[in-house]
Amino acid sequence: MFSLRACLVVSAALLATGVYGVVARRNIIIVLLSVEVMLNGAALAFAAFGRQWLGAAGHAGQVVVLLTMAVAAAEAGVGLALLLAFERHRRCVDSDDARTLRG
Amino acid sequence: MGATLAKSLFVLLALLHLVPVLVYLERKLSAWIQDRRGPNRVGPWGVLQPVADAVKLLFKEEVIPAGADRGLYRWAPALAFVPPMLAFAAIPFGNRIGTESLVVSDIPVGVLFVLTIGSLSVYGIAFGGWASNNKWALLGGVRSSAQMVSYEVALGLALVSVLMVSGNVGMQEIVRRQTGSFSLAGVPLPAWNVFQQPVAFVVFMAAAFAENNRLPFDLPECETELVAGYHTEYSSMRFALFFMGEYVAMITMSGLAVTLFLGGWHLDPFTDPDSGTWAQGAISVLVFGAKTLAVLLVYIWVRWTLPRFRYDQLMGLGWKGLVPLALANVAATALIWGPEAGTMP
Amino acid sequence: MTAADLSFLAAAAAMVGGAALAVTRRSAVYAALSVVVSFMGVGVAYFLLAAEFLGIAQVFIYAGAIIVLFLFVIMLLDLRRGVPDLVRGNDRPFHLPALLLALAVFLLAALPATVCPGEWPPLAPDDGFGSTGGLGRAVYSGHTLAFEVVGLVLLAAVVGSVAVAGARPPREAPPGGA
Repeated sequence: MFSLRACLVVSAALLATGVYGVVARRNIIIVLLSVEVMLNGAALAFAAFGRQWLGAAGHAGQVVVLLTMAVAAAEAGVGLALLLAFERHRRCVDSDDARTLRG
Repeated sequence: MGATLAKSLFVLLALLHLVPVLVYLERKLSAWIQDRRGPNRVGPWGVLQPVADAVKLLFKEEVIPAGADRGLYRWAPALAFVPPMLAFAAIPFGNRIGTESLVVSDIPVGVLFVLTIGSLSVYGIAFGGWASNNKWALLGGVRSSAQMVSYEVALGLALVSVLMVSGNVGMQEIVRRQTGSFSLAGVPLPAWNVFQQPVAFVVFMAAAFAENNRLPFDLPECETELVAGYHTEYSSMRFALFFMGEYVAMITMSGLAVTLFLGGWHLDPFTDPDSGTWAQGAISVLVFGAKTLAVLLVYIWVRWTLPRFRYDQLMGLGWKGLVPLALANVAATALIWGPEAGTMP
Repeated sequence: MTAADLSFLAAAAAMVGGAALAVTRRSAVYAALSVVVSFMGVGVAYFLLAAEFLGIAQVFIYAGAIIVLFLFVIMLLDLRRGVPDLVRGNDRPFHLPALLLALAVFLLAALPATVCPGEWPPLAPDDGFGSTGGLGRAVYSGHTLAFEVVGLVLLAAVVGSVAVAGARPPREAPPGGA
């Protein structure tokens, strides 16, 4: 039951949920949250493969997860900073309003 | 299983009973500091005042403001109260009795567990502020979320240098590493981390005050600007839960400070008779309790002595003062302890 | 059904359920709350996968920092506009084409699961796999370059965020301008 197979299915489900959020939603905050969900789906797969292979290769998988978390933190910081700047400009957080290149 | 249950029950009851004691001490000490008498009507010297307070809060009417998000409004106090309580599970409150280590759960990532779970109480404050549908409460919530995240950085960096000295992240192991002595310029000092890592201790305590929203960093509930901050709209038992959560968080943070810096349950770090008898176990618990209470008294002392920071000063101190200081301390620790430690364990 | 199976089922329910709630909530605060639930589930899964450090780091970094940052921004925007709801009418939580795309992504990503083993290899006791020490050694011996590059990325992100969000607000646009 609890196996690499199950972990991969759950990880694929997380990834797909994140894709849905990114494509379907227009609220930029929720789009950013969905990106975090996608990253977590990928990270879960890495950790699961690490558990399968163990040893140095397994640790490599865990290192990727750790670095993914750091990158996710950076992504959230930059994304939210851009969102704040965007909101200051356009008074909304709707991605449909971000289609003009003119300030 | 039975032993774990007994230890959990002991910690739970100890924490819950320490809260009214602290409330009483806080009021009494603040009165003395301000040259007043403090509570003196209920019971001898007013010792039953916290009981009267609790009864009053229990019987008060609960008001949920119009336009509040009812679900989150109801749950927020619990979210603020449970995490600090849970975090105490990894703090060793004594040495051992027989083979039973006196900590509810000595997990291998103990320090990180306490920090992690303790930091989750920010959700209670943030959601409480947001769900109240009140501008002051929302401002309190915004302030607390920014403040907690900022000071967690300094707190974590202060811990990094302690972990470098200890070479371990298990809590009991960190306490054991603080036995014995080390000499500083020929003077033998106990091997407590407060002596080995004084800079880290200062940064840790400053960040701990901010994490617990205590003066001089209590901006989320700053009454001169925000009425009462995130719990402006709360009344009755839900207010009491916020209030108790704050005190439990203080106790947990003090316990963490004692464990990491003040030698944990060691009475005398030079000679450590460790035979695992009941008497020695009980003494170690009492020593831990006394040290924790001492740190808590410092919390109270500081609260009634220092004025409150302005919010930009708070952020400036965190990011431009404590974080660089802690980083420099980590680098210095690596230089001093690194060559000594030689290769990685 | 072993204890690990049951725990994984609960974690999987939290992960997928929390994520599904997050992408369908109208309110950003509730979306953030659901994401926290989902990420707690991921943390539990890491513990089950013998990655105790990752498990605690997951909760520490995501629940303790990243989502708090999201909440901070959501509440800051609420304060600035004085209305607690940021959602516009055209943000529909249910969207059929996106659902189909997500289904396709799921099928594609779950494809490897059909050929992979259904059992874990036994874990050698006390070899420090996934422990703080073991993972630390792995990071600082085999993956130093990647670690330092990520440090650089974080530095760039800090500088960039401060530069973008800390910039002075532009003057009010003249009426009729974009």
